[in-house]
Parts: sequence; C-alpha cells; structure tokens
Amino acid sequence: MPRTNPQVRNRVLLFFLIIFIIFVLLALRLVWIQVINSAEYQNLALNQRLREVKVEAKRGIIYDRNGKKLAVSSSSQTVVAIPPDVKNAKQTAIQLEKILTTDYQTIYDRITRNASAVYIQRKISDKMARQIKELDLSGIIFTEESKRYYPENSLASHLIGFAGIDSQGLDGIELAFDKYLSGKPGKITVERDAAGTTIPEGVREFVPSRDGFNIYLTIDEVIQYIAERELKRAEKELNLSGGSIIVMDPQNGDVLALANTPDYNPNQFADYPQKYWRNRSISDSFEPGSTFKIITTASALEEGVVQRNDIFYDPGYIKVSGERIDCWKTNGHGRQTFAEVVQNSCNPGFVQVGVRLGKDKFHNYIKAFGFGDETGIKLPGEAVGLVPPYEKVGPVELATFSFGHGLTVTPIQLISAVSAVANGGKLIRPRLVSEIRDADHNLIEKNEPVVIRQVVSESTASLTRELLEQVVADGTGANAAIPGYNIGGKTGTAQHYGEQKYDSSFIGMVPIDKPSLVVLVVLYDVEGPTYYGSQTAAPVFRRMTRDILRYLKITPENTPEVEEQKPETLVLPDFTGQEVSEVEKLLRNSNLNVKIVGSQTKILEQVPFSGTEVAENSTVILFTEKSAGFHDFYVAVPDFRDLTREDAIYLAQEIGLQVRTNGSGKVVGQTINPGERVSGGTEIILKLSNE
Amino acid sequence: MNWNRKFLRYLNVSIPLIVILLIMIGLLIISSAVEVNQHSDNSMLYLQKQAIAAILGILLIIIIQFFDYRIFKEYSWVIYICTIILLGVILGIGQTISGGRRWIDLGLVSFQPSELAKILVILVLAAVIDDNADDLGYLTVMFKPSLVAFIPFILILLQNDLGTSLVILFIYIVMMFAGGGNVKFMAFFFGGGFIMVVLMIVSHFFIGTPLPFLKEYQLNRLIVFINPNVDPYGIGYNIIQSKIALGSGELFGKGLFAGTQNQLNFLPEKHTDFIFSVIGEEFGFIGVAVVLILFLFLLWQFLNVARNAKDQYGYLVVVGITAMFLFHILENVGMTMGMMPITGIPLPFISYGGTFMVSSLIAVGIVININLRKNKIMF
Repeated sequence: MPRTNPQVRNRVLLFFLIIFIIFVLLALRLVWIQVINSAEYQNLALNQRLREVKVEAKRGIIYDRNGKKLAVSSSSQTVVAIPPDVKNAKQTAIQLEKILTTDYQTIYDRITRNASAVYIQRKISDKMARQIKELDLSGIIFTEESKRYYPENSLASHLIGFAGIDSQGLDGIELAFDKYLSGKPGKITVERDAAGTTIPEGVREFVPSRDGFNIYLTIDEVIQYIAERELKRAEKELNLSGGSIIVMDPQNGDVLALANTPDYNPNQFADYPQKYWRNRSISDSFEPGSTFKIITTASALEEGVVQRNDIFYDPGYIKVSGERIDCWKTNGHGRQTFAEVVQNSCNPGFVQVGVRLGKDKFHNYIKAFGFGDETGIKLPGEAVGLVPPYEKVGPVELATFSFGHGLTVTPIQLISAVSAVANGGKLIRPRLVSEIRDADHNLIEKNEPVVIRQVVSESTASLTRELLEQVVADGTGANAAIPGYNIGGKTGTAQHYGEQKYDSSFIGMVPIDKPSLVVLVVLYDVEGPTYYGSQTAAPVFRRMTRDILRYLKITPENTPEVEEQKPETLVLPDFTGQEVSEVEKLLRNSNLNVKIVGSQTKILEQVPFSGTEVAENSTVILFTEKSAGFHDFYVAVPDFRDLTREDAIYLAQEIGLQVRTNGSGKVVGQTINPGERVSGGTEIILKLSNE
Repeated sequence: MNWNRKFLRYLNVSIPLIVILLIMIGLLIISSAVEVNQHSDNSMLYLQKQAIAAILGILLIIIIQFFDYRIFKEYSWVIYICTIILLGVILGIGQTISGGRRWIDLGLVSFQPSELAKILVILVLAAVIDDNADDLGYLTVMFKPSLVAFIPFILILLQNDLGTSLVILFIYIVMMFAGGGNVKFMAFFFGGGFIMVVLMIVSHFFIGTPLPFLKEYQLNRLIVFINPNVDPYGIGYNIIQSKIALGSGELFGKGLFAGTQNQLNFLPEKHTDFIFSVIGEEFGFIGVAVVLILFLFLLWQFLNVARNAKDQYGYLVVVGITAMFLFHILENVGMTMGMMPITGIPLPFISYGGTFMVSSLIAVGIVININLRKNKIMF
C-alpha cells in the first residue's frame, strides 16, 4: 500500500490558490466586458444586426394658381448591392452591365467595395428593375427613391427650376423653397441575421417620413404658355439671343407668367448648357431705354415740376454739359406739350424734365421705385441692376437717366416699378408663391401681397396712365393696340455700345383705368433692320395680351370701332409639294408672314391647312422636313366660347389649329377643352348657337 | 466487484449535485443555441443526443462505483498500451473534421478517442508518478513520467488537435507538481520551453523561420488573439462576435431565447465551443458568474477529495482530473473573452458533444469512486 505524503499533498492548496486566481481573473475580465464596457458591445451588437433603411420623404408638388401640377414626384427603383452577400461578383457584374447603363468596371468596383451597402445605379426605369429582379441575384436589392418629374416639360422651367438626384432643389422654386418641398425623411430599422437576411417580423422601429409641402404659385399655366409661345415665335422671327416676358397683376404683385428664352426641359436639365438655366428675368440686367421714361414721368408729375400741358421745344437734339444728345427723330419734334413728349418718346424733352426734377429728387425716386435693390421675389440669383451712386451722378448722368440710359435694371424690377404706376402708386413686392400647404391640404404659409411703399400718389399714377394710353393710342406704341381695349404702354430700345445690336422692350398695362395686367416684353440683342421696340416688342405684346385678355375673359371696354377695317382674308391653297421659295414670295406679297421649318426645298405640310381662311399679317408655317417637328409644335387650346364665328376662326388659325364650324352665331361648345395642349394642326370642331 | 454500502457515508453530495446542475444548465443553453424555439427540424435531435449522453455518463458513474479505483493502477500498463493503440488507430482511420483527425465513426455514433485518452493518460501518469514518488525530486526520475506523457501528447498533436495535446501537457505539469516534482527543474524546463516557443513564433513573424508544429490556421488564431481586428470578417470574426455576445448581455442578460448574437447566428459554434458566450448574452454577467462559481466550487470539492484520498495514487488521479477540468474551463471561458487563443476545447458538462460528456462523467465517476473509498482503514 503506497504511503501518503502530507507534505506533498499540501501542494494541492497551492494548486487551489492558482485555480482561484484564474477564476478571479476570468471574473474580472467578464466584469470588464459585461459591466464596465457593456455599452460599447451593446452598440456593436445593435449595429451589426439592425439596418436602417431611409424612407425618402415625397417631395412636395408645385401647382400653378389653378391647381395644375407643374412639378411632381414619382417613385422609382434604385439598385443597391450588399457586397458581403454578392456571391459571384464577376458574373453579377456582367449580368447587370447588360441591363444597366453603368459600365462593367464601375459595377464590379461597387459590388466588391468593402461596405455594407452600395448604390449601383440610381432611379432606373421600371423595365430595368423588372429585368434585374428576374435574375434574382444574391446581394442585389432595390430601394425606392422618388424622382422629380415635370409634366409640362419646359413650361416655366426657369421659375420652377429643378431638383437633383437626391431630390434636392438646385434651381428656381425648387431651390428657393427646398426646405418646404423636401419634407422630412423617415426611417425603417430592420433586423437582419448574420447571413444578412432580413428577419420578417424584425421591424424594430418605423419613423414615417413627412411628405414635403405643396407650393401654389401665382403663375397661370395658360398665361405662361401664351407668353412662352409668343417669346419663342419672336425668337425665331427676329433672331434674338434671348428674351424675357413677365406678366403681372399690378394690384397684388402676382406674377402670372415669367418666361425666358432660351429655356430648357427640367426633366433633362443636365443635357442643356448651364446658361440655358439662367432666369434672365431676374438675373440679367439691361439698359431699359425709353420704358424707363414712365418712371421719369411719374416722378416729375408727383413733384409737380411738370404739368400735362407744359410746352417743350425739341430741335432734334439737346446739349448737356457740352454733350449732344440726339432725338430719335432727326429734325426733332419741335413744339410739343409734355403729353406729346411722352407720346413721341422724345429724348430732348425728357432731358429737360429730368433737369427740372433735379438730381436729388430723381435719384430718390429711382431708388423709391425699387431700382438698385432686390425686389424680394423669392428666387435664387436675383440681380439688382446698376444705379450709379448719388455721388457719381453728374448732369450728363441725370440727363441720360431721364430716358433710361446710363443705368441698368432687371426685368422684374422694371415691371414692379411700372406696376406701381398701374395700381395707384404702391410698390408691391412681386409675389410668386401664394400658399404653401401640407400633403393634407392644411395651410402652412400664406403670402399676402406686401406693399413696400407708396411711391407716388394715386392721382399722379392715374395721370401717368393717361399719358401712357396716348402712347399706344397715337404714339410710338401704336403696334401694341388691341381693338376694344384701352391700353397704356411704352416702348424701349437701347443700343449695345459699339454694336448694331439692340435690347428692345415694351411694357404695357390693360385696362388702363384699373389695370389688371402689366406685361413686359424684353428682347435681347435684336439685330437690324427692324429693332425698335415699337416694331419688335410691341407686336409681341399685342398678340399675347390679346390672347390673355380673351383667356381671362376680360371683356372689351368699348365695342371695336366700326371704322376699324376687318383685316382682309384669303383662303389658303394647298402648297404641298411646291417650292418653298416661290410659295414664300407669293405669301409675302399677300401680306402674310412666313415661317419655314426645315431646310429642304419642297413643302411637306403647312399650318394653317389648305382651305382655311387666313387674315392679313398672320403667319403661315411651311414644313419642309418631316422631322422638323411639325408634331412637336404644341398649342394650348383657347376658350372659344362666346366668340363670334369669325373671331373664333381667326384665333384658331393664329395659333395653328384646324377648325371646323357648323352654323353661325356665337360659339357655344368646342370639341377640345380650353387649356388642353394638342399638337399643331389638330382639328377642333366648334359648335355654334345657330346650327 | 467491490461495494460496501458504508461507502455512501463518505459521498460528497455536492459533487453529483453540481454536475447535474451544470448538465441541466447545459441542456437549457443548448436548446437556445440550437434554436429549439424556432422549431427547426433537427434542434430536438441535438437535445436528445446530449441527454442520452448525459444519462449514459451517469450510468457509467454508477457502474464505476462497483470497482475499486486501484484496479486502474494495477492494469495501468494495459491501459497505457490501449491508449497508444487507440490514438494510433485514429491517425489511420479517423475522420477529418475541420482540419483535425479526431473522430472514429461507429455507425450510430461517432466517437472521439482523444477525449477518453485524456482520462486514460491521467490514470497511467498517476501510477508512474506514484511509483516514483520518493525520488521525484531528481531529474532522472522525472524523465520516466515525462516519457509516459510525451507519447500520447505527440500522437494527439499529430491529429492536429493542439488543444487536447495542451490539455495533456497541462495535466502532466500539474500532476508532476502535485506528486512532488522538483519545482526548480519544472520551472526551468517548462518556463524555458514556453519562452522558446514564444521566441520561435516571434522569429517566424519577423524573420520567417519555419514553424513545424503549428498549422496555418493555428497561427492565425494566435494572430487574432493578439489583435482580433486584423480580419474582423475572417479569422478574427469568432472572437469579435463572442465578445459582442458577452458584452451586449450586460449585467442581467437578454433573456433565454432572446440573445440576438445567438438567435441571429452572428455567434459561430454557439452550441459547442462558444456556449459560454450564449450564457453571457442571455443571462448576463449574473449567469456566467453563477456558472463560474459552480465550477470553482466543484473543483474545490475535487481537491478536497484529492487531499483526503486513501492513497497517493487516488490523490494524483483526482488532481489530474481537476487539472483537466481546470484547463478546459480556463481555455474555453478564456477564449470567449479574448484571454486565450481560440482552440476547439469544449466547456465541461455544458458544451454539446456526446464523447466529451461521457468522458467528463467518467472522470467525475472516478473522483466519486476515490471519494467513496477515502477511509484508509476498511472493515
């Protein structure tokens, strides 16, 4: 029997001590991990099993004043890779490359990137998404993102602007009101297991997104369309580098239309040169020329330095500090009243008015009318123009200011200032956004018209309007006249220094007693021979204002004078297959305008069609190429109701609709609803009261 | 047969109680780790297998009590030769699982001989040390038991089972120490050996000298032991996930079946090697502390049995068994929290695994046997 060895057995106590120390160390380490640093591990555990999926907020809608949608958001799919889950990266990339527009190398790099999730291509078409889903690739998933869509394409593009890929506003209203439109993104937290599979019942948290607010513009889509149509027409006919049209309700400062050319389609904004994005109406300043005389006139009348019947003498020039300023009429206007000075747009006359007004007061009025300052229209990139500071205004500057030279203004400043004259002397901040409402239509913000200051008195404004009425009735603005309406307005032409290029403009208001419309037409870089505002901008004003008045159902104040001869009409023959040059000559001889679309010599189609009756001075469009966009030519259908048969036919032809009528009398119905947009040459049938 | 009802008087009841308690805890945690709650098809199978192994083990404990443990000493050379043959056979016909050749397929069940070999080596080593107890202070005498331990150590190492061979090494060191080995010599050899191994590994990293005894995956385990973030989704994944499981369990745990690291499969090998992390995640620090205290108490009771053993042989056997369990606990628990490199060493009584459960219970049976026969004078 082996002996026992108590001494040796005591070593067991030492052994137990070692065991005890080992257990204490293990326990301390556990305390360190599970108690002291547990928060850190808790986070690690959460982070690796919870995946936050952002829920994009739906961007708000932009409406026109009548509730027409100008910018909407629709959801589209984005392909996302979960690189750890991608099985065969090469094969996957090859398959994706066939469907997507991204190249192989980029796809491969993305799906193999050391990240938990990577965008492969964003906002792809539904068809692409469907094809990829059919492949059932591991590690390739989809998320929904909203994509901005502008249903009216280029309409009001400069106003609306555009939003980028992340639905962030980049220009125009989209940028200026981004914080309202963008909404608040929500998130879904989903639980996933180690293989990356989402646990079906594992939604841990759902924070719903708050959709963006909807914005209601003061813009009227139809007026906007009319403005753009006329601006484009002018651009083609006059070879402009660009132009701006603003239509404003002077009583409350509402911008009813704001158009510029060149424009762009915000759905593909990236395809256009950046200068096309420029909102020239507010970002570009120009020398206003004679349109500025409205300001001079109102200021002088307010100060009482000139009366309506004060007599001025114009020898054809005036000398200011030794500088000779010529009148546009070589021999001068001779003896004339102040009213006639305005009517004749006589520069020497206005110089004398400016001198009477004096530098102090005139400079103050210029500032008071808002020149040299932002108008407060809430759009990005507003310019302030250049009004030389008081100290730099000498006698020559004072003289040139009085007829609108030596300073620059933006179109929006000019129309705001002239609207003050139109509304009885109040400078009102131009208003573009009337209301902001949330997705449930609750009012968030309402923009009431803001009167900045009373610049001139009611009576001065009224007298100024009377003088402006004469300009259109008997003076330089005659081309702006619309039968039946009392219109006031002023032309403007400013030459580019050292170039045979002119900025021509016309600003007019109607009805003159209490104007509900002020319309400004600015045409940039008009090249001779006809460059005067009276020859270029005034007809644009007339054509569009006539349509706008009709659209707004503003009835004529006086029945068209009987003596006003109806324009002669003729019936168009069929020109198809004929030589363009010959037809053009023929039409020009018949006092018709001709527009040729396409570069071929043979005519393929024409608008208006053969057999339609056209009036003198209307335009016939000849298409020589199929591809030349005959069917890209869109027109907004006007409201023909209550028009006489003749007026209705005339209007339809003017805008390029083919018309058929039955009976006589007034129009009581039409086959295409007003405001709808159809391609050029579409036939519309009008129902008349006496069939 | 050697049985006396009086034996039961000496029974340290806490030993079987704690063991049964640990087995119950193990079954509970395994049921969570194999996702019994998610009604997966074969999760019940795991539980059944483990329960059967536990019942089998308990039966073996009872059977063992009918033999006097000294029979193991008498036949120690037979046992030793059997052990060598068993380990040799597995090198020839064993099944390869994740790089290690450790299993013998017996049709219905597969069997891991190295688990049993640990106990057999303890029995043989105790006999050799006991026989040379008087002169164990001499270097030449120490050589004998060292050789006895060395052969199975090498054979298990050749199976690529570094963990188990380290268990053998640890058992050997502890038994030599407890048996009266010369502390100076031991410190010199094992301390020196340890420093040499460290130097070889260091020189491998810096100069590129070959490391004949470490496979690449074993080396990787050492690398991530030093810095788990070298490759957090590859070789460092296990240790990171285990620490996250423990840490996110915090003080009170996430509750049974509610551990996300466990249930969402972030934690690897969760029913076997990393079961301790599951306890830590679902029952928090409180849970793992209870388990550790139970283990500590059990080992303390073992050493009590050792101290009061009737003879030096019984004393050495119990010390060896205690050393075996200690190493398993230290290595398994230590690796879950980054204190030890990762090896496939399971946690006694708790980790899933039939052979290990049975062999652990056999070891407990031997301890109880020695406990029951502690009285030196038998009537």
